[in-house]
Amino acid sequence: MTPRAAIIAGFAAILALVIATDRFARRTGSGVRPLPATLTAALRSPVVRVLIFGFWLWLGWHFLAR
Amino acid sequence: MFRPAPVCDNGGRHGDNAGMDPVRHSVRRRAAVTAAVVAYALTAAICRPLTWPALGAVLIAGVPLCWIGVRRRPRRAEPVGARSAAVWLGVAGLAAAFELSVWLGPDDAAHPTLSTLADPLLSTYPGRVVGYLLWVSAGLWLVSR
Repeated sequence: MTPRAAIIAGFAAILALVIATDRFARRTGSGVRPLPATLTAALRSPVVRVLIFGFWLWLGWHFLAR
Repeated sequence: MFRPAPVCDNGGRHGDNAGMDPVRHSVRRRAAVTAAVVAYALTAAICRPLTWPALGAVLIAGVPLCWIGVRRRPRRAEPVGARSAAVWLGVAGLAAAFELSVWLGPDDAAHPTLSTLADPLLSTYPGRVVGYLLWVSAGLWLVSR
């Protein structure tokens, strides 16, 4: 396996981990909350709100404008 | 006894949406927002990356949404436990560590970062339309929280 293929597989594995964790969290009786619910709760903190909106703006600049 | 029919039965409300069914109003509002987002993405995607117009296209939507989102009162939400926070912070930390390790590694095509992998997609107009749609939709979702 080439380094490039390994890195792409790594990104794909992380995406799969996010989806699997979210699906697991949606099962009844799970002690983990789904990602949207966790983000919504985190956004109640003003500091986290600034950080997350700053990260979102940076993502737009980095992928679409830089 | 005869009662004349009301000229306009809007329940005493005034304005353009007076008398409109709330569900219908919500559907119309959602359709208007969707149309605005699609129009923005189709227009912004004309700007090629690494240009001033592309920077302007990002800032013209990003700064107002950030301003509204940061100042807006947060939606009421159930607190999440330490376990949820730990799990999601762990996943985010893993993703950040992986991206950082690739970024700190050799700077060539054999060791692409996430943005290097996205570049071929974002160099095309349809790819940029999808990119702007995803980005603005995520921003609107965050603002609604």
